[in-house]
Amino acid sequence: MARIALDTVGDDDRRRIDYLTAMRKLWSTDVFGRLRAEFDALAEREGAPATLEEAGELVDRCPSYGWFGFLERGAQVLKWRVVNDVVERNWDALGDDLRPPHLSRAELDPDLELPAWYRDHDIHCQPGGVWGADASALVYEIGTQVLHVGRNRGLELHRRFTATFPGETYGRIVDMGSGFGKSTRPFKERYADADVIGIEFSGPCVRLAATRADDDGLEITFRQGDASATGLPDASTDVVTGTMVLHEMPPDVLRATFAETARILAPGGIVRFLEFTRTGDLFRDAVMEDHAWRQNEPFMPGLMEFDVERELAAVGLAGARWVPFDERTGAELPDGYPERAEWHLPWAVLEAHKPAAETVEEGAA
Amino acid sequence: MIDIDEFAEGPEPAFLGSATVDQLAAMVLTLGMELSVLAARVAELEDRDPATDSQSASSLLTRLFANLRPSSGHSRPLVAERLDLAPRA
Ligand SMILES: C[S@@+](CC[C@H](N)C(=O)[O-])C[C@H]1O[C@@H](n2cnc3c(N)ncnc32)[C@H](O)[C@@H]1O
Repeated sequence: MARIALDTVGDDDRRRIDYLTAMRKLWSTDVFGRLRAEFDALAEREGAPATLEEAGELVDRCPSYGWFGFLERGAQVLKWRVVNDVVERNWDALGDDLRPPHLSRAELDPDLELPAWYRDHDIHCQPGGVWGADASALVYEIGTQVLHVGRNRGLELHRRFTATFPGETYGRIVDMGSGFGKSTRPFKERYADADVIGIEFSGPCVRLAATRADDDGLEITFRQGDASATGLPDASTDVVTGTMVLHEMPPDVLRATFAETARILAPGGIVRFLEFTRTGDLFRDAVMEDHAWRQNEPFMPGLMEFDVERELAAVGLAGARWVPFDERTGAELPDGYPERAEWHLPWAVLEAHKPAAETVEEGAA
Repeated sequence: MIDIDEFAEGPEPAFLGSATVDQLAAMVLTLGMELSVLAARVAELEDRDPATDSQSASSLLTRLFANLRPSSGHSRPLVAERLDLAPRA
């Protein structure tokens, strides 16, 4: 496995990152557990909430909720400060990771105008977003390592998702919102003969993605562009996928992205996005609703409200549904999420397909 | 390079009652982080197993969390008051 930015950091920085990781762990186990106990006690006294709004009001009254919210956002803010600093101090070594690739391709579009909905808030509280400077992609890469602890440098979750794809081979796979390629590389690993393309708004991420793929000996095309207007030909791909990208889009862009997905998919092609959905546990769902605001992800609740069946059918994609996903094992959970004591993101796969072209009946006009 | 302050737009949301309390809590957590770095360096100087470093980071945090959380020190009365769970006479 190729070197990643985290390998460059010195011992002290590694300890800072260990500390942040330990903080997240305590927050997601201890603090979350206490919050749940408070919520359950309140619900027992006052009656269980019947709606998401009622659950939200109840969770707001739990004594630990302020602390829980502070730690979630506070850890995130502190993380970016630490990581920015790390990248700045190690820039001489890290900047080289944006070199031109030799095996993969980084297709940059210097004229691409990033839309205001994308520019106007710093997603995940990362100052300057994942696109604001060359350093942003490296800051983002290290940042993901702080959250995904001990999971083989963050690729494992993506590999588990890739393993759920039904096909033995595919001609072309398009990964929307490919970031620095963490979600894209596992496709080329599993489907070595496929033409794998990542579409990504951020130029620095496109460059880093190509280097990382190169270092792993994977030939992938990363194209700086818009998931809702990829420029790829009609009916030219067998798979459209994406990981953690839909929830970053406002509803009209979501609609446009699904329309684009339907356009570039060949008949019989499949759609599988790894995302988040409601769990049906009103307590978790209420906390998740606020999580979106605490992490500067204003469009996340909109995705959860999005009527996928109707909206995807409207653009010609059939069978749309959410299938809960266990990020620890890669198992799909058609019967819903199991009980878990700790806080976890409600991972789910949004799946659909483009119906195979109808065979024209003999003698039809 | 990113200048973080260039992106700061207005105050952070206040979770702990007021922005000042949030800022103070954030400072304590940052101090905790630097303490964990120092603790690990001392461990190294004393030739202790580096594996204990991470343990020390989390036990440091456990203590910090226990003392920092808003209800600590008077958690019973506060929780009891909010939830009306005080033992009935
Ligand atoms: C949370 S990241 C996930 C990256 C990657 N899929 C992964 O799993 O590591 C979402 C990415 O989607 C990109 N993005 C969001 N909206 C996009 C759009 N409309 N077109 C292209 N990229 C987009 C962002 O720049 C960001 O890099």
